[in-house]
Amino acid sequence: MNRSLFLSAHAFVALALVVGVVSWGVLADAASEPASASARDFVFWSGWVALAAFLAAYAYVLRKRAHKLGYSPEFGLQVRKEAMEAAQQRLGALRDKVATRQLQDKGQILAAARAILRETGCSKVLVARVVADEGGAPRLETRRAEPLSRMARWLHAHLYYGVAACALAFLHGGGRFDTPMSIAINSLVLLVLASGIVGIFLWAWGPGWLTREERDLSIEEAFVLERHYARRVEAERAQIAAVEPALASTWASGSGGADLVARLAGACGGGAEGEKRARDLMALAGQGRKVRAELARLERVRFLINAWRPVHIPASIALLAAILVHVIAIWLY
Amino acid sequence: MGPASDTTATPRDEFRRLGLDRVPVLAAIAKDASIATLMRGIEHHACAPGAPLVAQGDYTNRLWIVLQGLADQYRVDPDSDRPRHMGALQAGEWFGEGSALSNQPSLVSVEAKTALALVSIDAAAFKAVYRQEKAFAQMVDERYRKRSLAAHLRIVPLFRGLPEALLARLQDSVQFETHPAGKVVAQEGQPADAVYLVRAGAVKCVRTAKDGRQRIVGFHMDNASFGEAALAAGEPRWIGSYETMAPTDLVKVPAALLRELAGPEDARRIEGTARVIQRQEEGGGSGLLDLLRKGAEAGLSDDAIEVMVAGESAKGGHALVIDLAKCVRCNACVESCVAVHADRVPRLSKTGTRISTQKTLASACYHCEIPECMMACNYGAIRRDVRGTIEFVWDNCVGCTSCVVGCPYNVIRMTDPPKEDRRAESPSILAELPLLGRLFKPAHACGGKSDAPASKVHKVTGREENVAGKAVKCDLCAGLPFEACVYNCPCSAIERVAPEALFPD
Repeated sequence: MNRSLFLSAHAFVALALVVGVVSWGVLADAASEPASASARDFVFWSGWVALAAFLAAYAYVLRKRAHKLGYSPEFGLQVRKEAMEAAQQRLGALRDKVATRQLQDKGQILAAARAILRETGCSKVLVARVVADEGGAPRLETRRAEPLSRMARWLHAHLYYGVAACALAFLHGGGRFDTPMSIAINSLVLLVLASGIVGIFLWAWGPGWLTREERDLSIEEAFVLERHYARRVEAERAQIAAVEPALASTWASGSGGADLVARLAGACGGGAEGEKRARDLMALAGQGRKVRAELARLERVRFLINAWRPVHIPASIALLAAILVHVIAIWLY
Repeated sequence: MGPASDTTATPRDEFRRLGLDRVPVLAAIAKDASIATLMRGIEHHACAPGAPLVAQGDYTNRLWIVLQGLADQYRVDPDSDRPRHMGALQAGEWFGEGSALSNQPSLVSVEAKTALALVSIDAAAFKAVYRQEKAFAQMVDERYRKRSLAAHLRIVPLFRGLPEALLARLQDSVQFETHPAGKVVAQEGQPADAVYLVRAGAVKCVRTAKDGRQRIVGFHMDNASFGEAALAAGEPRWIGSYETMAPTDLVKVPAALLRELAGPEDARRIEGTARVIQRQEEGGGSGLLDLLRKGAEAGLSDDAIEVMVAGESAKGGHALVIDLAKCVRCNACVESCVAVHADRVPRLSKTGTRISTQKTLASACYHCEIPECMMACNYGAIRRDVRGTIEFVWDNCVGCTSCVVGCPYNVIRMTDPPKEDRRAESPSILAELPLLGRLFKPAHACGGKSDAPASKVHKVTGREENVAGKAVKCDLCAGLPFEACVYNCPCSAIERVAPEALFPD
């Protein structure tokens, strides 16, 4: 099980948001001012908070697509290899000074390292930090800056702000299904929430399940092997088809009767040599089918792990559209 | 307009014009072809006093020659935390030849004492000249004997702490040996008669188990020594077969010579140390054997241990490990690898080696300590950067596939001959935005593309090479503020970890 999916500071922020809005709603109900004004304020602001939470959740998708297409802002921070090497060389000399105790003050070490990174133009790519080794002596370490944080954190944000946004949207609308807009938004919210929750549990437990199912062959290896056999079977099929077209498709599909080996042997020139080749061809086709079946079995498991996505993604897109229509409509009218 | 002679000047004319013929070691180069090779790989440098040139432990990949000024050499010994002054380098002297020849980290740090003028020669060009020019090679070797050998001997446990006079006598008497790749220097079970120091290249020790199976139990490189057993009392025998993994330069210290030069007290000390080292090797006290044992106790398969230990991923910098209990097989790692490389070829494959029920070593470059790809390359297309990362020099690659054959892990792929970056041809409209636009410009140098103007003449061979393709492999997303595969995994399933961490305590 992937527990890391559930361990995130975003969960607390999202929870705080929901608790805050709920508390406000309760307090607003108890306030002395006219009920209609406080209810209007609550609806207005809970709507904006819900929208902000939705946008935070949708940002994950934006970040993912931007990176995949190669247009993420981080690409603009790239430095030349030579600059990186120059920085590493100078940091190496600084590490020597630290190791030989010419420099021991953590602040000074960090300042010197940052100066090197700044001067070589690598301050946006590498981050320096000073840690204490086992003996308590300072040690300089560098790591990549990772300016927009790892995708895993964005997924955490997506999860928890998404759940919070759904809860807030429900509160915002009072859980009513009485107008076309509330029916559309609340239904979509429930659909997105339910599919997302199923998805997160499938992503947490699914990999372990797939790994157990993989046995001796991983899904990636099965894929490569299946391609390999498919190519070989196709090449052999073309050769057999040149002699006996009907036999070629029978052999490749594995649907031949008991006389298939004899027919293949005949097509391969007959005699002991032909028979040996026929048996090799039968083995090849059999192995190919076996690998294909294994791949299909693993693909089914992978499909089930991701089965929530065909519901979650279109529903999320529809929900975003509905939210935009709702916001614009409220804004204009 | 420049002087007319510029257009017709030969490499030798240029060599003279720059005054390099007055540098004794360079004056030893006789052949025009060697001068041409040298001039293709030469760079000029000027340094202010106090500027660091090379740090101990860094991979320099260049031979440096002082033209003017003074440089100081320092070294921090393992048993000390104070830098020791190893002498000054004057005009005409050089450093970095050990790293350039053997791809091993520098033994000393070098710093400019006064304002310095230097030239540096690319490792590939230096190696080519070293192989072609006997007089040049002899000068480099003699210089190594006079200066670096002393430092080399001092870091070998067997010789550490011996009197300077004895080390000086040894320096003058040891033998230099050069072996091609695959040569068995010493055979298991045969009488052991010498201690060897690895000056350049790499040697593996293979031991035969009782069931007849052979297993690599040690690697010797990076100025290491082997054969200490030869100094033990009685009739010592080699504890394994020692085989070179690449063209290797060794320093041979015959046991008889060592006994003859050392007085009775030093001889006893040497014998004692040798006994300790031998016991450690035979009893599995080396890190490698410990890992082998740990791996076996942890129930890792022989294949996994072979890849991780004998196959040296355990000795590489950091292994890329996929946690199968977390990986949802979404392929984001491979897709993000494609996204950061201009040629759109992924450097990562998830079909790696399953090392346990839940972990897979992904097929991405291990940045081996003994990079067989680099040893196989004859075109200077593979080098180490200062931190030891193996990187491909795009311009030098001719697509000969030697590295693909040399790599034991199948992590090198061939791409088509250079083509333009598709994203560069059609940049995003966001790239046109004022101020923010530069943030949306596509990655420019992360593999698969060179910034240097195309030259038909190969830098090392000097010929017009027919480039059949280019070799590519994981470059750790050079220059980017992230490693794409690790950075973009939504489930934290892929991580770089120190290989030792994969073995349970």
